[in-house]
Amino acid sequence: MILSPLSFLLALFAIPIILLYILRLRRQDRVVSSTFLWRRANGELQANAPWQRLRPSAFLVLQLLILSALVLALARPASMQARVVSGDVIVIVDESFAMQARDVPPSRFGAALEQAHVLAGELGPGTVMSVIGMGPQPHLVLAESNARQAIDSAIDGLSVGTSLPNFPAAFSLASSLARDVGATRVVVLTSHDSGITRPPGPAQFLLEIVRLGGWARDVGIVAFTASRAGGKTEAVLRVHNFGDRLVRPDVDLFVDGLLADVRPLTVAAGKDTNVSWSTLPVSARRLQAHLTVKDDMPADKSVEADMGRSVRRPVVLVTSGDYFLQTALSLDPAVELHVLPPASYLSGRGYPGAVVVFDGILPDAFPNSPTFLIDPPTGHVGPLRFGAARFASGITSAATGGLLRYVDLSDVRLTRVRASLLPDSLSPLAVTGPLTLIAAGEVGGTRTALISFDPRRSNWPLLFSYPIVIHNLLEFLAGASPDHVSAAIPRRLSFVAGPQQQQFGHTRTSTVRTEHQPVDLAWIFGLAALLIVTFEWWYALRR
Amino acid sequence: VNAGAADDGALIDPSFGFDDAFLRRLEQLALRSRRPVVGPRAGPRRSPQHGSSVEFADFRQYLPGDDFRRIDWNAYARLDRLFLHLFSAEQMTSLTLFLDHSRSMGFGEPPKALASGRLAAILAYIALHRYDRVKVVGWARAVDCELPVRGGKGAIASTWKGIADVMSARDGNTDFDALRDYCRRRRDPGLVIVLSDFLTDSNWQGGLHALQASGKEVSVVQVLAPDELQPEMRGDWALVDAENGARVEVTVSPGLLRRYAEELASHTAALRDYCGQQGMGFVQISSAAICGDRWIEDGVLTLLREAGMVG
Repeated sequence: MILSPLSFLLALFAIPIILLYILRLRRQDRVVSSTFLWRRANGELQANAPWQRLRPSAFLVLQLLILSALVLALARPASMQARVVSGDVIVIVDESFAMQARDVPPSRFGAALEQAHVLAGELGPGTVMSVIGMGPQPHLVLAESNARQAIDSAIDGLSVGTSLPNFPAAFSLASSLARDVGATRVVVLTSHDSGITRPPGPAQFLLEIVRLGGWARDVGIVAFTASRAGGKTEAVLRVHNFGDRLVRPDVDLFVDGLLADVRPLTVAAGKDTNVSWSTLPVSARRLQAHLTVKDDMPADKSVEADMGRSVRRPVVLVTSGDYFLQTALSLDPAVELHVLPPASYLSGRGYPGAVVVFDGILPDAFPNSPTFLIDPPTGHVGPLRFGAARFASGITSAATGGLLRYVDLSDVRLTRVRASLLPDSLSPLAVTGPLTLIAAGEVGGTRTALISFDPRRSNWPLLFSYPIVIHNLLEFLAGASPDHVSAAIPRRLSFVAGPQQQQFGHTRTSTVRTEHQPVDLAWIFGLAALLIVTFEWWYALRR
Repeated sequence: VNAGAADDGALIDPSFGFDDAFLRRLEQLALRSRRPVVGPRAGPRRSPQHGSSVEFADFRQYLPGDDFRRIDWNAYARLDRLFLHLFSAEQMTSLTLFLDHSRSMGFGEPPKALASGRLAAILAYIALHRYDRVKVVGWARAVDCELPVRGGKGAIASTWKGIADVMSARDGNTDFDALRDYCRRRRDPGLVIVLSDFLTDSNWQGGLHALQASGKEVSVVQVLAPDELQPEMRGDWALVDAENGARVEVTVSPGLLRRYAEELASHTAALRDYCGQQGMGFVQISSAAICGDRWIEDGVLTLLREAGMVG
């Protein structure tokens, strides 16, 4: 940046300098016996005119360079550099799954804790430190303390999980903790592949993001599903290679604690490989899969599925026919599916203990059961009102936790969405512009879920997220807490969150912050001007 | 500002300020010729022609009409054939001094005109004292002054005065084509010494070649002022040529002075090489070496000896 831009006007002095080279110098006459040798030595004859053609001149170039350097020096160019603040420190420690990677000894999380301890040791007198654990729901571990023992204890109390970091929430929490924004330093200790590179909003304090680790060697289990069908048990395992090299691990499958199968795999860098077992004994109650490979991420090598639960939940699907929805429900072994055509549905009849799913129709009144509305037509039921369908293209925002945990809806492409007027007791989970796409909550004391568009008119049923969302919403309607829906997942469908991005390299990135301190660079150009003047003087003498 | 310029047209003392001791030294010298000379009259110098000196040269058979006094009667007695004694002819030579009296010769401290005149006076004294004949020709744009040929010691004073008059009258620019025109009219043999600063664009090779082609034995003396050999000015100047008024704007810097010295050396080398190739004597003399406080008699005479002009 330029601190004194008006100084560029001094560049106009280039005009008189050039004029001096165009105007002929009025010289004193000196009669000599002959100009014969002088003409040959001078190399040129000059006409007796007030003007002359501008000739290439080393002196002109040097003088223009001197002027340029002086003008730049007076304009006071400066580079913006973050101001190092010796004040309060807020440490945000990433507790996400990716911090378990061991490409940094002892692990990324361990290295983060070490750095947090170092920061604690650098606290100045009168300054305080706060510690925030950054999981899916950031939590304040220690607030504004300068007691070293308490700080170290708080740091050591942090633990790494299997979730993704929620940086916007952690950043918001840190913003609320900053006492003196001008003297507060927020240090984010996160993994290199967390995607956290800049603040989610304006930072009024010095924000330093330290990304730990690099290109982790990691091949892990990303999905494991098991089901009983046709008198046998089937299981499918998906393995993803997050590293940059081909890996050949083995998968060990244990059935009720006994090794049942070992499969060698070949997983290319960045690719998935699926393994399936279709002839497992129908009596199997507990399946365990273990990936035998040693890499930087030991936490994603094992998964298990509990097949012991046999209680099935009745689900009444009122539909004119939806293959995708029906398949998604029937694949869930915990669901006892009853399909009714709309004409057979009786509003007055109760379905105690069942979840009623209305697909493409709107009942006259809510049944006395948890209700799941999918693609309702124009009309109203209870306090819910549905208007005309509107064009939509994609999902503009979606919740990241709770019922949509582990779900990526960014690839979903829509065509039409039903406009709706919903009570506040229904929380939007995904929206497109002002329109609610997915919502869940309670209406009149009964759990209700809503998908306000026809999934068949989108690509969603083809995506992995579709059966998960259907499952999660059914779990919610069946009485599970929204924050604990995932706890029910491993029973039949297990997911292990892996690194989401492939950005590596052992780097330490210190960024961001709107407040910077200009460092004046005028001396560089002043020195350059002095050097050029010296060179010109030497050149003139030599010439 | 006419730094280094002599007063144009200032009279030169016809005596040139030589003392008797110096003149006695000059009397011990003689002009040297690189080949036998053919002169108009008998004199002390060997001639390629056979004449009446006492120095035997050759025999040849008698032809009717030959002088009986030169018949070798002893040979006739032995061989019964008539042979004639041939003796070398000794003739006086003619020295022509071509004096450049253009405006440029008036410059320098001491002036090149004065130095050139003193040198011409020395050469004329040596020649006249040895009974050679001396002719003085002054030229600038053209040959505009041609003194009559003089011989004998008695002509020394008048010759010196003529030289002084020529060098006192400075006009025009040096043009060597004037020498070519002169040679078309005068083809008399003899020694020729050209005194000039040679700071000219004119065809000096053509002028010198014309002199040599007309049967003369040519020697060249380049007279330069100390300020021309080593200029001492600095700064920005508009140099005005004294002869043609041409202006050259210069910023005199060490670099320009270095290039000037290179050009002077190149010009002098060209002159020396040409004279060497054509069998001409050449010498470059600073006016300070001939005139004023820095007058060095031995130095000048040594230079003339080394150039083969006197001995």
